[in-house]
Order: sequence, then C-alpha cells, then structure tokens
Amino acid sequence: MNSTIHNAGSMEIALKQTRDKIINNTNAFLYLILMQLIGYFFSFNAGMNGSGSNELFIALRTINPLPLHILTILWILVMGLNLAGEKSREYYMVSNNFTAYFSDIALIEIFSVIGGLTLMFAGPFLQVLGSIFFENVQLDSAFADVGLLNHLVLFLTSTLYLLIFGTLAYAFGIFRMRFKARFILGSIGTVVLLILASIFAARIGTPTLSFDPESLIGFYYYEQRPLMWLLKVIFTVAGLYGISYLGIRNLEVND
Amino acid sequence: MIRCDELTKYFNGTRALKNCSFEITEPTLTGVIGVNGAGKTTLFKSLAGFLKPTSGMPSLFGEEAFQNITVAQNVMLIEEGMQFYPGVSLYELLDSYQQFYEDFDITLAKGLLNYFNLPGEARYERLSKGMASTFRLILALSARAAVTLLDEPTTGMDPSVRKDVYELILKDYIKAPRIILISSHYLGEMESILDHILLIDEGRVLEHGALEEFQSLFVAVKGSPEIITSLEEKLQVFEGKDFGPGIRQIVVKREEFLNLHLWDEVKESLTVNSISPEDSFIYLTRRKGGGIHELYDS
Repeated sequence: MNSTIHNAGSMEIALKQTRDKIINNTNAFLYLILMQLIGYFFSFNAGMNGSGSNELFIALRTINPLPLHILTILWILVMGLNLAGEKSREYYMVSNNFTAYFSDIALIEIFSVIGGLTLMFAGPFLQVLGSIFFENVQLDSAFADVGLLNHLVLFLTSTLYLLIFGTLAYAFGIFRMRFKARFILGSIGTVVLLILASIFAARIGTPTLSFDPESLIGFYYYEQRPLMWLLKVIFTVAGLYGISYLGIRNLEVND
Repeated sequence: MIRCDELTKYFNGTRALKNCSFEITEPTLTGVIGVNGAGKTTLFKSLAGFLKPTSGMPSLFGEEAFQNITVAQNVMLIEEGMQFYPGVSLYELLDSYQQFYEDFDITLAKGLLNYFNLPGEARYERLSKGMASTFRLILALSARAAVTLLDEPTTGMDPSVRKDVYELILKDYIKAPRIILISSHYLGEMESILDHILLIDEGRVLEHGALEEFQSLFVAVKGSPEIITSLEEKLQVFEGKDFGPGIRQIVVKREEFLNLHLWDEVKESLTVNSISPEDSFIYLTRRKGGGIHELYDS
C-alpha cells in the first residue's frame, strides 16, 4: 500500500475546522454590522416627546440601546441555527460529530465575544452619534459615572447572554435537524401541553404550577449577587452544551 | 483495509443493505455496480462513516467506520449531493481541502482544473452539472486518501469528458496505488480500467472478485434448436434467442455448462462465446419474472 494512514487527533482536526469555519462564515460579521445599523436606527427613534406653542417647539428624544441589544440577540440566534442546520457540507472534509460540535461551539463563543464587544462600545458610540445629530445630549444620571470596570461587566454580561441565546438556538437547530418533521410536531405538542397544563393549573388554583416567562427572565436579570448570576449563566450554558452534544452524538450525515 | 461483515442498514423500515459482506486488503480499482436503489450510495456512506449501520459494522484500517476521525482522515467520498460552503471559489475550496487531507496534491489539482478548463475563480454552485462532477473528481483524486470512494463520478458529463475522466482515474491509480471504489450503472464505460468488480443487488453482495472472473461467469451457447432445447431443460437459462429457423442461442452460467460434460460430437456442434461484463451484470441483476420479450409475447 503506497498511501500513508494519517492519524491526527480529534482536537487538532477540530481546531482546523474552527479556522475553516471562521473563514467561511465571514458573512456573519457583515450580518452583525447590518443588524446593528438597524439597531442604531431604532435606538435613535426609540422614544420621542414634543411640545410647543406658536413661537417655540421643544422636542425631547430618548436614545435607548435596547433595540440594538434585541437585534444582536436576533443575530446570534440566526447564527446558532445556521451552524446547526448546515452540517453535512463539513463532513465531506475530514470531520466527525465531536469535531463538528466542538468547532460549532467555538464559533458561537467567538461570535458572542464579538457581539459583546460591539455592545460594550455601543453606549459611547450612541453618545458620539447623538452629539453629532443633536444640539444638546444629556446622559442619564445612572450612566454618568461609568468606569472601566462597569464596561468590562457590560462586556461580560452581554457576551454571556449572547452565548446563552446562541447555544440555545444551536441546540434547537441540532434537534430540529436530527428529528426533522417529528421535532416540529413534538415542539407544537409540547407547547400545547404546556398551555393546557397552565390553564388546568390556573383553574384548580395552583398558580405556582403555571408557566411565567417573566420569572424565567427574572431568574437571570434580577439576580443581584454577581457570583450567583455567573453560576446561573455558566450552568445554563453548560446544560445547553450538554443537550447539544446529546443531539449531535450518533447523528448520521444523510442529506 | 476495508472489511464489511454482515452490514445491514434500514431507513425507516426500508432495507438499503442486507448482510453485505466483503473485504478489500490491497490497492484495487474496484467497480461497485448495481441497479438504481441497489444500495451503492448507502454502502459508500457507511464506509465513509456517515451512516450508522442497523447491524454489522464496516471497518477501515482496523477501526469501526461510523464517526471515526481516523477513518475520516483517510477516506475521500464524493457524490452528486455533496455540499460546499456557498460563495466560495474553486481555488478556495482546494485550499480548504488541502488543510484537511495531508497528502493533498495542490499542484495536481490546479493542473487538472486547467486541463478541464474549470475557472479557479468560479463558484462551485454556478458550475454546470458536468463541470461540478469534474471538480468533485479533481478534489477526490488530488486528496490522495488511502480509500477513495467515487459515487457516480461522471454524472452529467459529456461522453468525451467521461472517456478522459476514466483515463485520468486509471492514470492516477497507477501513479498512486490505493483503494479506489467507483460506483456506476454503466459498467461498459469503465470496465477497461477496473481490476475488480463488486456487484450489489437489493442490498446484498452478489459477486466480488477480479474482472476476469466476472467476465467468465456466463457463456452464450449457440446451436441447433433441438440440442439447445435439451440443454435448456438441464440448465438455468438467463436468456434465450432465436437466430432464424435453424439456430438458437442461450446464455447460461459457464460453470453449470462445463459440469454437463457433453459428448465431443455435441460440443463440436455448438458455438460457445464469452459475454461482456456489462451483459453479465444485466443477467445477474435482471428483474425476476421474465424479460421484456415475455411481457410482450404473453
């Protein structure tokens, strides 16, 4: 036999795959720019109050970065779904389920960090844009004394929230790809069951059993203890990683 | 190097492979032939580690194939449905594949792109069907993987290109001997380059061996209708044809025919000819229940 049998480790292949995926997903960064531009547009138009008389008109505009955050989350959701849905092309090069999973997760982490960085700079950037377009820009007192540490905290929290959403979308996409039509039917069935269970629980007077989306958000958002918040996020991400791996393990490539 | 032991694969209750067993230990250029739905693509995907068998497990280089990273590094599979990242040029795809296949011959790949007039800056999704097939083949041969699986590599190609492509495969095999499996419906086109045949029918391996063995499976026996009719009673006949009022021909298995130990006078009155491997393939995989003649003559 003239051919040499190569035996590089899974991690070496996974790193090569990550590099290849970054090169082939550069469009993702263009989409991020596009989404954030839309986000900036809505941030400027988030709220407006005007009052005036025949001689004077005063317009008070509120610049709110929330649309920017929402659109960045939307971007990471789409990226997570894309990474899960476009699996088969990578298997024709050297790949297996572990390396594909590892490189996907690595890419979601990279996307989250970049998303987090852009959101960290979004506040000062909005201020700069505001001062260009408007005569008088007043910063809300809550953000008046923001130091470097606060910026770092904003970066960390944005990155970790993006990581949660990206991994959630990825896990969803992997299961959708694995179970195809059955996944959609299963999802609809689960939602219907949850609604029925909530209605039933409300009727019999056990409100603690009913599903409340706000309490889910509050679980992270209203957590006051930084370490506890970090633990909650890390465990959530770890759980989603585990669920994704369960979905991709033993997955066949047959498109 | 490749070992399949009772490999069986079902898709939602439909059988694609059934107790498929064979072994290839040396570099060979093997033609995997079978009618549509015989299980060729499923076999290739199982060997490449894409599919998890229902039972049995193909092993390559002594390791189980399914999702095995060592197998993935040493197997190159191309097929019509294979996908690439969109918006990527052919040169960029070559570069990507070069990163993953350590023996990838980029000089050969670029030389072949030029030879087949494939513009390196073009995007794969914009190529015609035949050009896309040619590009996939260039990738497969340039990868120089220890096991190269070519599933219908000439789909959509012009006859002149197909001829060139088979010559290219042979040339590459001589230059870098390795296990190359080519699947096709058209055995006639590629029999000149093959040294082995793996015949699959309804998910089972019907024949596996050297091309010469396959060529000598059947004989066409021609003679007077009386003698031929007497032979038809003793042998399994795969096809019978009348050539005018005094001559009839039947196709039978060579081994069965030789085992009859006919008298010399009878032998001398018969004309015995070999038949082409393509015809052998047709006789082995023909649908049960009679040929087209019987359908019309009944």
